[in-house]
Amino acid sequence: MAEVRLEHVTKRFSEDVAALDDLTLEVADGEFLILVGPSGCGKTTALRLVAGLEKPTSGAIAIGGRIVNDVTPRDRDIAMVFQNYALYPHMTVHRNLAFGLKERRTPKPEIERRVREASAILGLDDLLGRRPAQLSGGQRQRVAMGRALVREPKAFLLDEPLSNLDAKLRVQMRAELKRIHQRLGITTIYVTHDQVEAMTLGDRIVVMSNGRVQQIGKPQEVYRRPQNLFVAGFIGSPPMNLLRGRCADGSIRLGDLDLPWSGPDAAEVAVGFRPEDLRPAGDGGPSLEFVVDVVEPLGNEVVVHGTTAGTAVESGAEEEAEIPLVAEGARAAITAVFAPADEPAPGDHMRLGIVPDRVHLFDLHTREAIGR
Amino acid sequence: MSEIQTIELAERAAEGPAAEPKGGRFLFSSWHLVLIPIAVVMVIPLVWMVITSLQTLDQTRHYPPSLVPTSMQVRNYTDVLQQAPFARWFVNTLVVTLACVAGNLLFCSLAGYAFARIRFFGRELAFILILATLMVPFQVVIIPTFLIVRSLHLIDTLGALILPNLAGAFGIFMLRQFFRTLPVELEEAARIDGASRLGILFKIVLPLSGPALATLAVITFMWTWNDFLWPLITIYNPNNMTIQLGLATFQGAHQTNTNLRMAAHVMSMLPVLLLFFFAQRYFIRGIATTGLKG
Repeated sequence: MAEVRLEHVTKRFSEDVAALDDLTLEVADGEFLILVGPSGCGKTTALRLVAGLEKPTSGAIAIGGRIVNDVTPRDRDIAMVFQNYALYPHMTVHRNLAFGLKERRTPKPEIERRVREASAILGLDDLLGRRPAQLSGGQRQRVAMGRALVREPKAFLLDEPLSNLDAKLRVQMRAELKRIHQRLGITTIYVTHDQVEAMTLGDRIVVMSNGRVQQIGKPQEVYRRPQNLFVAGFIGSPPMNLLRGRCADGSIRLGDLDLPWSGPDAAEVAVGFRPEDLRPAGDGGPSLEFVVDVVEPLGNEVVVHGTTAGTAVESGAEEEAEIPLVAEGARAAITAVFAPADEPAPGDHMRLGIVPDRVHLFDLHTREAIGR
Repeated sequence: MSEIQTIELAERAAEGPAAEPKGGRFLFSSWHLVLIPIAVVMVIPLVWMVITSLQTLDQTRHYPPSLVPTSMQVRNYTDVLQQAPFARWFVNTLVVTLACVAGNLLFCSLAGYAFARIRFFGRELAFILILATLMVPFQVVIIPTFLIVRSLHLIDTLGALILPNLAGAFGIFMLRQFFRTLPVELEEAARIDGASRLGILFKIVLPLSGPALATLAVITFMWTWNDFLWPLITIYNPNNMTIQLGLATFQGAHQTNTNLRMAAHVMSMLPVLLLFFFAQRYFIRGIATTGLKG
């Protein structure tokens, strides 16, 4: 086990585009660190650099205190799980698991012991004689994990390991991954674009975009206090509502809503509030007018899509498919999550209550969060 | 998802050829009206040859020639074996052919893998040059090759037949194309698992390349077995002749004994014919995937 450090690491595949731009990161010994971001944000490149499959253009990578820039993948003593598992198709599960150990000339009884151990942890005992083609997706995923486990490496590198599983299996394997990590405590770097995996698995998460780190922190911290518009829009599902606000005379005006404001006047800001922080308004408190469009009852909660007066702000984290939903004339699409008892009907006009200290503010020009 | 599909393709390749779909295998299609006559035209010379090889000398001189087997003079075959060192020629050819097949499999794998996966200075240029040699007819390089072989003192030995044919542009090209279709993650996984470049080639890539290797082996076998011109130029001693060359000298010596000549031909063709029967899938694949004549 070991800590992993990246210092000012830059990776360019061509002259003008940096896949990874000055990344500095420290993964503590035994930590479960998540790299999360949309596709093309550089998270997989970062992982491949740590694995040694790519060489950094500049900067240093250290594993267990040793600079490994010029060390081959073999000698870095890390194990990686690939998105498509990359199981050796011509070998049985047993040989897949043992391959890495054989290549390192591990004594036979030791190989046998470790393969048995890993297969017990992952429930592969009945599959050891099968080939990958004879396994289901979930089983292949386990074998891929097993191949990493038997090596007892200094660090695990996981590249979107759950993205090829169906939804139910993904939830199961997610819990299993966490269990394995709690049991073995091996330093893990986990790449995903799924922010639910990021929130649930990570000790800390690193939100990335365009080759740069947007924010590093504990999941709750990143969720509660996103440092910029990108993180605000990326972390959270459904995503945070972001509306353009005007500051004047000690308050922020947003449609017919007034929020207290102590910053400089006339600054343009993005006002963000999470769907679950919106409630049907009681009497008194600040509130926002809202017309219900679509209601999605999920059983334990109700997701309500609708519009309010105002202009939506794009965080830069939207998936393309979501863009048409934003802004219809002078009205902006927003989403709220209610308790089932509050389920409205499509077409309802209502007011949404907002808790002032749950509101996030971002400078529209720097896109950074404004502390209040 | 395309990565997954590639992996599955590779898995299927590793599992061996998929079983032929059952049913519909003997269904008649209008194409057969064209194909059957062509097949007959192709088969007649073969049949005629086999029949003639079993006839007596008198029968071969009969006019018009008969395509109906009228006798079974198996003695022709034993006669041939006694009148010429056929067994020797057969062994020579087998040695040369197997050596060339083994050489092609090994060296074309190594070169093909380097061209497919290893980044090195001048790779593209070198590959294009190798490809370009496919367009140079053999007749153009006979003399330089002969000079090289002579300077190695290999003239009139089996070495003269083996050495220049241990690797070929065709094999390098074909294997490179195939290796590039294998998912690169498999090799990356193996690198992380600690395998060396050669280890990856021999333990991961080649076991997954069965169909491509089989195709190369089959095509090399046929080319080498049937090669005539190069042995004709480099081999003089009858003891070092290959079967095709020996056959030609035998033909010259037995101008009139058509039945014996045909018996000799049948024997020389047998290995290639058998190979074709059992491995025609790979012949077709080789021709189809590379667009080159087999």
